[in-house]
Amino acid sequence: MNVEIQINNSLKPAARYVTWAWSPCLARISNPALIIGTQVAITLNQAALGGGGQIRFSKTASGAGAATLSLTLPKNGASVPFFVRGTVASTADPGLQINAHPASSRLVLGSAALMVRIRKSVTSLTTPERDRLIAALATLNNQGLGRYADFAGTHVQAATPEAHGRPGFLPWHRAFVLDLERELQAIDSSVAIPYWRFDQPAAALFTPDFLGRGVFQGPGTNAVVFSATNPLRFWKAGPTPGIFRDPFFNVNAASPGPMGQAAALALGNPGALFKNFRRLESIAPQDYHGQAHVSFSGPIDSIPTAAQDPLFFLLHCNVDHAWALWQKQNARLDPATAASFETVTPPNRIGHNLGDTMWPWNGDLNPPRPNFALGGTMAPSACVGAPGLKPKVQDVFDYQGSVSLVNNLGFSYDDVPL
Amino acid sequence: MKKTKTKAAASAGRRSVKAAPAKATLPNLKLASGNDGLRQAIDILRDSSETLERRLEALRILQAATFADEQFDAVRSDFVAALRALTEDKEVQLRQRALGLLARSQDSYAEKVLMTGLKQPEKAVVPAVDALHYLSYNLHSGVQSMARSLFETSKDQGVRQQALRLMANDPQAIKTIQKTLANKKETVEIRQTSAEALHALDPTAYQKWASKAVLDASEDADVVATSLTALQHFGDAKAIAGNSALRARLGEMSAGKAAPKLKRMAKMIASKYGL
Repeated sequence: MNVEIQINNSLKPAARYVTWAWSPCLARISNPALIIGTQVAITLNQAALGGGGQIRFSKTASGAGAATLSLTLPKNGASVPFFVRGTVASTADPGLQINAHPASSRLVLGSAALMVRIRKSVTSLTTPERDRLIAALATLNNQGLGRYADFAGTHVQAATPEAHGRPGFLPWHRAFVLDLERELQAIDSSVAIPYWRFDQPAAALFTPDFLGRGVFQGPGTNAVVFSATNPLRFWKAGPTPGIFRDPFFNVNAASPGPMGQAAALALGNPGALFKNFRRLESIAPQDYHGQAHVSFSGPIDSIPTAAQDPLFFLLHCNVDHAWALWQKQNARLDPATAASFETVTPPNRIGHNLGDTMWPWNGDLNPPRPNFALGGTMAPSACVGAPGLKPKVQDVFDYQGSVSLVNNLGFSYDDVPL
Repeated sequence: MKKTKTKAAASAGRRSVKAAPAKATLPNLKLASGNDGLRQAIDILRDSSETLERRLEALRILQAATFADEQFDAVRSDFVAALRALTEDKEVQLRQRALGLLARSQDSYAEKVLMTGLKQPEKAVVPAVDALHYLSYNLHSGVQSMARSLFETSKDQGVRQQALRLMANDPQAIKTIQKTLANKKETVEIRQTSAEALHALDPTAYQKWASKAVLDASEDADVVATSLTALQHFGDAKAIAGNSALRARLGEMSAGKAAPKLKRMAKMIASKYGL
């Protein structure tokens, strides 16, 4: 007798990744030999594979779950659904495996390896996690010839109104980071984009073995220093090879520019309103997002060139992280809740209303959209179906499927629970 | 910048590596809210009687505000005018910052100032190494031919490195880049930049060169490490597997006849390509 286990309702290797959200899974008898009767009772549990992580099981996509789960599988091979969610992040792939046992013995009837893949702070990455991220970024860039060029070429001056200064700022950048993350995962499925808490020290990030070391208060014109073994030394996303980024702050400390995370989360008050919270994008004299960009001299300090630097995505992952925290704290995950977004009459500019599709994934070249759209549709995921190939603004709010499981975008943050 | 606009003054902006203070505090400019505050910031930025610290803080606040897109439009033209004025400022840090920001938006005024400085060094407002980089944001600015020329004539290794980066876009420069990469009399930094430039310009040519460098027992350890990095992450699996000399060398390295760093990389390449 054998049991087949599907993670995210799939046998594909790329589907064996879970987050804090409930992932739909299936178990079935794939070889009924020696089964007496029409069904068999099994128990699912987890076993370590060296990469860490913990999961919980449930028959429904709700509750805290349990360390084991009993199921009754029909002999005829019909699938029985169950759910799995991560509770501790893995550090390597695979992290652990689900084993299926007979209810009364430890004999393994079937198993499925998986990883609890979570977005973490850059300061908590292990060295192998860091190196896998760097390698995937370098491959995606492929010395300027790879898919990364589409990302650098999208976040430019002509596209500024699609993504900045309006309510769609946070949703658009969530989709942008997710699109890149999925491209990285197509290269190395174990990679999740880490977030850079720019209001806290993150010295390890600005070293030759990670994103490179710049010169304190330099003019941003000499390439950051990489170790000889760092493939990012071949980076090319702007006009010349190299990454140009000189900090205005001591990288052993936090940048003094951005407001602290607590202050950013409080921007929504009173009323925990999105229209207030979104001021974290840019509000003089001190904000959260803009001040992080201008903590350096170099391409990252200007909209037209910012995405030439891969730090852009770690910075924006943290902006998204702040939105995720704010959403959780204030129950603002459902776009149908008025305070979750800024819906106005007359409507916002196209691209900034809940029902609008977002450029460039929609391929819309009609004015006032830009006359170019690089990179095609949103990269698909083997784990989840959302947000679809041409996401709308409203499709990226419920990122863990808390309101509805079908909304799950397939990422979680280490310190933002389901 | 008045009478101080000399080559020496421009050079004053070269990287004198400063020790970063453990904890920075930013000056409080006590700005009004909204666009009034941004206009106050522009006034501070333009005012040469203000301290450099306050002017830099004003610039930082204004830069951050540009991310608000159309909300910044009310003061955008004043901001650009202030940046252009700063290209003549007495403070090299402000000249550099202003020219960097303008160049990244391909501002034609800034490009003219920068190109003039490269052609007539006595009129330079920033060091040539910076001017070359700023001009790189618009490859149609004529900077590429200037880069080829400066690479051959400049004694400043920083300028030559910057020129090499620009030459990575220039097919006419490929022979010069290859020659520089192979020249062991050049500094390791120049050769590493040549490697990056050749990799960007002609990845196949660089892969061939990198394979040879790994076989060269007299080659610099960092140059070998860079070559191994390129082979590991961007290598042509078929070419690597078909190169018996390279396979043998990687085997030697893996077996312990190399520095630990190179040994580790050789093992990773062998593992990746199934050697």
